[in-house]
Amino acid sequence: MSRREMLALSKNGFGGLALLGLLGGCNFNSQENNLWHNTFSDKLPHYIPKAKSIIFLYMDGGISQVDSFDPKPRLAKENGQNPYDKFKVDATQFNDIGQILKSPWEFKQHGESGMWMSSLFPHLSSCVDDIAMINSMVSDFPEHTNANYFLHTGHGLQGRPSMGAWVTYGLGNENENLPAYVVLDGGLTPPGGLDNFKNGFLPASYQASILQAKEIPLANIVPQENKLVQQAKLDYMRKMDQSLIGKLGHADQIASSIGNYELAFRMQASIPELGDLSGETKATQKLYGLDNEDEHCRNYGAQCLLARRLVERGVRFIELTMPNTGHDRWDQHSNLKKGHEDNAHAVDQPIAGLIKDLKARGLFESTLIVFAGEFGRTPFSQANNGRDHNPSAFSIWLAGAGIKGGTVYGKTDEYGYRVIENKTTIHDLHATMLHLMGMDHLQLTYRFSGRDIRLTDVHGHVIHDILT
Amino acid sequence: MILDVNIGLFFGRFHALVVHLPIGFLLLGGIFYFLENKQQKGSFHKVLPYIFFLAAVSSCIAVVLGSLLANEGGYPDSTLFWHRWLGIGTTLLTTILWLRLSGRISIHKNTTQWGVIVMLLLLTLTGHLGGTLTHGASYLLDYAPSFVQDAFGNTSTSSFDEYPKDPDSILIYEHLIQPVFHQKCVSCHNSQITKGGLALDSKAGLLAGGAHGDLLKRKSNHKIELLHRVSLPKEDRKFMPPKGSPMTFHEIRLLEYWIEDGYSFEQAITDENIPPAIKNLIQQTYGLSDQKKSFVELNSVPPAHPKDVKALQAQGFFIRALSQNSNFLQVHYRDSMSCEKLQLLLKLKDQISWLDLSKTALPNECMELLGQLPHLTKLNLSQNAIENTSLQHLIASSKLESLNLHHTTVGDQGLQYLHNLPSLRHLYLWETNISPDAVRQMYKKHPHLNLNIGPL
Repeated sequence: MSRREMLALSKNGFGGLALLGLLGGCNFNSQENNLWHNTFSDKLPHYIPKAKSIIFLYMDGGISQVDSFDPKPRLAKENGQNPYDKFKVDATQFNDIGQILKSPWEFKQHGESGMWMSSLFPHLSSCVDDIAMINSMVSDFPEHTNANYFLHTGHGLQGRPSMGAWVTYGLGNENENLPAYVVLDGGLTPPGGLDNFKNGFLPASYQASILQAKEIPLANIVPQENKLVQQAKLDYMRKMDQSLIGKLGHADQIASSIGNYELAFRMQASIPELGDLSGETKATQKLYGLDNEDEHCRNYGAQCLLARRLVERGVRFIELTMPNTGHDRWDQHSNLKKGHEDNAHAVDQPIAGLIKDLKARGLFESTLIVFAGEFGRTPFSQANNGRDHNPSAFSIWLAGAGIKGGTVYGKTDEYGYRVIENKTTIHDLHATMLHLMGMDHLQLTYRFSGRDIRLTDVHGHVIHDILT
Repeated sequence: MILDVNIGLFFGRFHALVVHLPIGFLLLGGIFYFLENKQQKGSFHKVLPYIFFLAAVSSCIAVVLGSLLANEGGYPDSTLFWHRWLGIGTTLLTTILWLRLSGRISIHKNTTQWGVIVMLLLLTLTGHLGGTLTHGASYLLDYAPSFVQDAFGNTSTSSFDEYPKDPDSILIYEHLIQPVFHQKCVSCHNSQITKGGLALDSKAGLLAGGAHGDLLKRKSNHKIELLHRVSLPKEDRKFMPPKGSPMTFHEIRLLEYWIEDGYSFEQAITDENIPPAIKNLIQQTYGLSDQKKSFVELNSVPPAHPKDVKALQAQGFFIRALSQNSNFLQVHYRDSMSCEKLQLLLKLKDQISWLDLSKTALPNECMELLGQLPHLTKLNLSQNAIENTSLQHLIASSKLESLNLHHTTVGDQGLQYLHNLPSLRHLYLWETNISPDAVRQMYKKHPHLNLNIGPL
């Protein structure tokens, strides 16, 4: 055979490969071959899990650690002095570096554990014995968009699967009438947009469904036509899609959209029932702050209450985004006092209510709550009354299933500027979250672009010190 | 590390290199000797004198270097004794054999033959003892199949890696400290080789102490001998162990705590008096949690029959295994329950461990079925009308760890049935008819119970 003949013969093969690539990847080792039949059948954790669900309270914008959970008396002592005289100062986003700025809020010790918390969180202060504080978080990125992707997907660029997608990929759902991964939209879309909540290279069914904390949490979910007519349409669509799939072989997007139609059909019943809070007692509604005069507190309270209802219904991963209090999230480059106060007021009572309510209903022992922003803020001011981004140290906390309440883990320097003990990365957080859900982060992989990829990439250690 | 020049030791350490020459020569000599005997007209006899000559010379050098090395000290006395004298014996025998084979002396052929056999045996034995001196007694068989290990009675380090499953049975001395002694001390301090008069392979030996007196009591100079010797600077002559890896910081810290706390051989890692710093250390260094593990983490059951699982799923039960490696099942139901359906659970009675029947209008008349699930660890009965007397069926649910009675009609009398549940850790009683007095009583019975009576 001549060279020309051989090329002529094989060119169709090349074309075929290219076509397969266009139509959703030539995934010959498909782990999802029966995807559209039932996406969530028989996915079991690696070991017996502590947590069945995760509620991720996303503190968008970067809450200031030195004003909330990590007290630094030295800032008060050296208030107004030049930070360059004190320590090496990294470049910040705006590089408008002012003076050392003391916290406008007073810190006190709370609970039996004596954990420190500032007066920003009067309600949460009563729950310190249930939470494990990590004061030694670091991020790789000083800017919102990349830091958001990093926090959500373990990677600083867009396109990777979100942690919620990984969890549902690993564990599936316990309720076939609701999506397994839900984002409760508080009003603010984080920088980086919806890519924070996507499936990345995982099958499309694992992306988040975005619901709102309203009476009807999802638009167009109340059926406008007869159920039988709908059913007939759905059957017909399925038949057509099935024949298309038969022609294409494996096609994730089509399989997922069939799954979506059918889930949407079932959600017509489950979603209105979910959003109907009339069955909740007055006391419970009050607990979450639904009677608060602050509309943002009411808004976030409804999100928290909805999160509990989703947990009760077996939803795996619920993320809450911030309400818009008019201060551009927690991102107080200026006007720190007013901005943080308004944000804290919106979330403090609802979160404390959520913890107490979950505990009373027996859900706390199987639900993990994570409270985290994408980075922290500087101990010195930007302009004169704000703080810039600080990825070298920030505080997050976890509570609930498998968490040793009252623990404080990690230390920062006397300014809260850098971590000096037990540096904890976003990968460590992810490894710990997966661990509590019964999954070994080393084993939860998906083959993409020629290798088995993990949420934690090649990093991550479970933070055993905060676990029971 | 700067050490003084020591010409003797410098050469001595070549022993390990040189010693392999006579081993090779002698093996070759033995093989040729017997081949020569077999084929009557072979020509091996021509090379035999040379081989044995080389063997004799290299053995002599090895013996001299070995003696120099022995001065370094730190080797178990009895093994060293035998290694030394068997080595010298081998050398002498080799020399005699060379004299015989080169025709310088005459010995009867049969005797010579036996001489060669004895020489080969001596060689093997000496070599083995040499290996034991360098690598330790368990080195050879550490990775042998278990039947080989059993045959040689090898109780080496490998068996220490496994802890009892129940943290209550993990003892600080037996499971955390003793293995360190075995790894780092016992090769020189055991009931056979009692260097410094000390044997660390038994509790009695530890308590008896050594030539320097008691190991565990604070002496007049405020030092505890055992801790003192393992925490000296590495270069110190008295530092222990003189060879091999020293004890780590965490090992010494745990040992210090254990000795200062009164060295109880029975103290388990779940002991409530252990300070948090030590608990953390145990958790981090040994990966052991003092939290009691759940029944389902410690036990296993045979898998449920798929047919039974399908039958229940057909009735609307949600069923799945707790994990990939567990046959225990979690089951929940989201509709209204009937006695017939509840009866179906008995097919999976050994496997069902987590059962969620909340808000199912659970009929009280068949609650006794729940008492027939022997491995139930989590039971959620919330938002049902549960009568007091129904709870008496749970009286024998000895594995029950979490019971949710939130928003039920249970009262004080029902709570009494739960007083003696041995494994109960979580109890949810919000929105029930239970009085504060009854709750206090329950606390008295279960001081560590996580009992919740509501969010306010």
